[in-house]
Amino acid sequence: MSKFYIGIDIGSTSAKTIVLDENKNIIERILLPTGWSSKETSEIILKKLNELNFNVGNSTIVATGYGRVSVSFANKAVTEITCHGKGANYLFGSNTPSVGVNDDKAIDNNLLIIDIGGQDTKIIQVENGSVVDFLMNDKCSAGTGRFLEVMSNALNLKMDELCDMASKGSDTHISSLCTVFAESEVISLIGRGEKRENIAFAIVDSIIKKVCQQAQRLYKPNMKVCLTGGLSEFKYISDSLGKELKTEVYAKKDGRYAGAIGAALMGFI
Amino acid sequence: MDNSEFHYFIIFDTYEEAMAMHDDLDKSSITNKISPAPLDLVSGVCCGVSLMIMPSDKEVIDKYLQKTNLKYMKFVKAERTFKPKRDRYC
Amino acid sequence: MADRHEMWKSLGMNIEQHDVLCSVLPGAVGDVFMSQKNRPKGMEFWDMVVADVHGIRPAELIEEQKKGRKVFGTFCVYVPDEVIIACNGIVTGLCGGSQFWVPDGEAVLPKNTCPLIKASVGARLGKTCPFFRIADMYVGETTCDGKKKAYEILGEDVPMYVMDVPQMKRPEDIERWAHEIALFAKKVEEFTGVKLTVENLKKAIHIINEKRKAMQRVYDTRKNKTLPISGRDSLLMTQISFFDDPERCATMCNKLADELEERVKNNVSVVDAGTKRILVTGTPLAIPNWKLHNIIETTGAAVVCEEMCTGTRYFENLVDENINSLEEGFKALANRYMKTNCACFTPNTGRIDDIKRMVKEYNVDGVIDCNLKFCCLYDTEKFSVGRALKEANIPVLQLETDYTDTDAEQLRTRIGAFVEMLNK
Repeated sequence: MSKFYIGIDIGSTSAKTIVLDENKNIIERILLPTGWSSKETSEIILKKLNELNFNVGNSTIVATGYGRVSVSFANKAVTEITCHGKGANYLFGSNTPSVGVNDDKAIDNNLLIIDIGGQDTKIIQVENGSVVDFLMNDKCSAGTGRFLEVMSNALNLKMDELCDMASKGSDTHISSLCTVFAESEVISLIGRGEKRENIAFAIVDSIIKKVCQQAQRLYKPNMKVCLTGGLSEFKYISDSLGKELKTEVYAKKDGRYAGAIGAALMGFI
Repeated sequence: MDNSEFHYFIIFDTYEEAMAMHDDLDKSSITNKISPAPLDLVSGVCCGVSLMIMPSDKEVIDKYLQKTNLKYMKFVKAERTFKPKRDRYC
Repeated sequence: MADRHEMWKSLGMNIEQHDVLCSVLPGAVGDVFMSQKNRPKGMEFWDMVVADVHGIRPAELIEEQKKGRKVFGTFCVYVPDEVIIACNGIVTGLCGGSQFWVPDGEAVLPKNTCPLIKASVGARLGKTCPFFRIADMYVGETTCDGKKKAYEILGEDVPMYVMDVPQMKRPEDIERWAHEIALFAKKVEEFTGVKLTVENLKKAIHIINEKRKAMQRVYDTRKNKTLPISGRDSLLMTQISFFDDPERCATMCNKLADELEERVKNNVSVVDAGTKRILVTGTPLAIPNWKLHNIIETTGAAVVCEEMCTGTRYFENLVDENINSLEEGFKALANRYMKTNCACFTPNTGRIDDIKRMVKEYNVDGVIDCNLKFCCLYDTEKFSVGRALKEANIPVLQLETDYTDTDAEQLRTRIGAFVEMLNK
C-alpha cells in the first residue's frame, strides 16, 4: 500500500489540506471553511481523507496554522512560518520547473514570501529552501485578509468583484489603518457619493501599502518576491504589490495551499 | 511531579516547620516538593509554604506522619495537574 | 504567627482582592517551576521564598522596621543600594510584574503606558502588595517619561524621592551622577538618622559587590554547553534578589553556584544536547512575569542569559572598594553605575556591544529582543539592535508584549518559528 504525506493548514478563515505522494506530487487538495471549531474542522478533514481512500494510518500527517494544536491525529505540528517557507519554495523555488519570465536560478534560491492571511500577514525570507528571517504583523487586523473582508462587506462585494472594481478606480485614499476606523471612513465615502470603483481602489491600495511597508524591511533587489495565501488568486493584488515594491511579484494557483504543502513536505523530514 | 490529576499537600504554621520536614523527608528519600500552599482549600490560617506529595506515596506519608515529631498542621488533597504551556502568570 | 491575614490587614491591604491574586500563585508556580525536570536542589530556597512571597520577606521587613530601620522601595538598577545599606536602611525592589495590578494603575494612568508602570502604580493604589505598603520611602529616577509622571502620582500617597539620572554618558554626566548620589546620600542620612561614613559606605560597597559576584557565578555556569539550570529558574533567582537581604542573597547564590559548577563537571544538563540557546534582551521582567521564558522553554529552546535589568545589567561591573573619602566613594559608585547600558541614554551603543559579547560568552544561537508594550525607548532601539545583530550574522527575533495572556499563541507561533529556523 502506498504511503501519503498529508499537510493540514488550519488558518483563521479556511482550512487547507494537501496530499502528496512519495514523489512529492500533489494528488489531492481539500479546502474548507475553518468554522468556529478547529477541532471539529480537523475531524471533518479526517473523514474526507478516509472517504477519498487515503490511508491515514499509514500516512505522515503534519499540522500547521493557528489551529495546528487541535489536529489530534497529526504526527507533529510545525509553525506556519516554517511551512509557508517550505511550501513557497516548493512552488517558486529552484527545485521546481521554471515559472515566470525572468527565470534565474540564483534568484530562485532567495525568496521573499508575502502571505496575507486571515488574521496576520507574514513576510518570510527563504534561502536555499530554509527560512532565514521573518516578520509578522502585530495583533491587529490592519494589513490582513480580515481588513479586505470587512471592507468588501461594507461595499457589498465579493473579493473578486472588489479587485475587479479596484482596477478601474483611482485617486481615493483611506487614511486609517485600523479596520474599525477604516470601515467608518469607507462608509462616509459612500455617503459622500464617491464612486464604488474609487473606494475599492482605496481599500486595496491601503492594504497593499501597509503590507509593502512590512515587506520592505526584509526586501532586497536580489530576491524573488512571491505571494501566497488566499489572495494570491487575484492578479490585481500581486500586480499592485509588484507596482509598489517595483519588482515582479509571482503568484500561483496553488498559492493558497503553500502552508499545507509545506506541512506535507515536513512529513518527509 | 507526575501527571496525576491530584496531589497531597502538607500544610504548616510556619515556613521553618515546612523546611524542617522537607529536609527530613528528603533524608528518608520520600519525594516532596516545596509548593505555594493551596490557601483556598485551607480554612483557617497557615503559612504560604507547603509540601506537595505524590498520590502514590500516600501510604508511606501516612506512616511517616504518624511517626514523626516534626510539626505540621494538616494533610490535604487538592486537584492539581501540571500544564507547562501556561498562559496566565498571576 | 503564621497569620498572614493579620499582617496584611495591619498593612492596610485590600485582603479580598489580595486573596484573588494569591489564589493564582500555586497553579502558576506549579506549571512554570515545579513541572520542570531535574531542577537544581539549590532552587529550594527560591521555591520557598516564592511560595510565601508576600509572607516571609514582608514579615522580616516589618520586624526590622520595629527596630527602627527604614525600608526604601526602588524601581531601577541605577539607584545605588550601597548608600542605603551604609545608613542601615533596607532596599526592596518594587517593580510590578503582574497583569493583576494593571487595571488599578489604569484608573489613574493613560492606557498606553507600559504595563510595568501601570502595575507598579496599581499595586500601591490598589493596596494589593505588601512590599508597596511596607516601604517607608520610594526612590524613583528619571529613566523614562512614564515613570517620571507616575512618581508624581505615587508621591501624593507615599514619601517619594526622585534621582535625576543623566541622559548621556560624557565625563561631565558621570560627575553629575556622582553629585546626584551625594544629594541622595544626604536624604538617606536624614531619613534613617544614620550618618554616612567612609567606613560604613566601604562595608556596604563590599556587601553589594559580593552579591554581584555571587549572581555572576550562577550566570557563569550558564555559559557552558552543559546547561545546569533553566532560564526560568535563573530568572526567578534574579527577580527575588531585588527583594532579599543582600548578604543572604549572596550566600544562597553562592550555594547554588557550587551545585551548578558541580553539575557542569558531571555533565548534568537540564536540556537535551543540541537544544538551541537563547539570549533575551530588552525591558525588565519583574516578578511574576515569567511569560517570555516559559513560552521559550516550552517551545523547545533554553534561555541562557538575560541582558536586562532583571539580568546582567543588575550585577555586571563592580564598585571600586578602595575609597578614602565619601567623595571618592560617590565617584566610584558613579563610575560603576554609569557602565550600565540602558536605552534611556543616548547614544547607547554599549548595549549592542554587550549583547554581542554575551552572545559569544554564553554560546548563544539566537537573540530574542523583546520590549514591553509602550516602552518607546527599547522599542526604538530595536532598529539599531536588530541591524547590528544581523550584520554580525546573529539570528534575532524582535517582539513586543505586555502582561496579558491574549497574545500567548501569537508569541508561541513567532518563537516556535524562530526555534524551527535555528534548528534547520
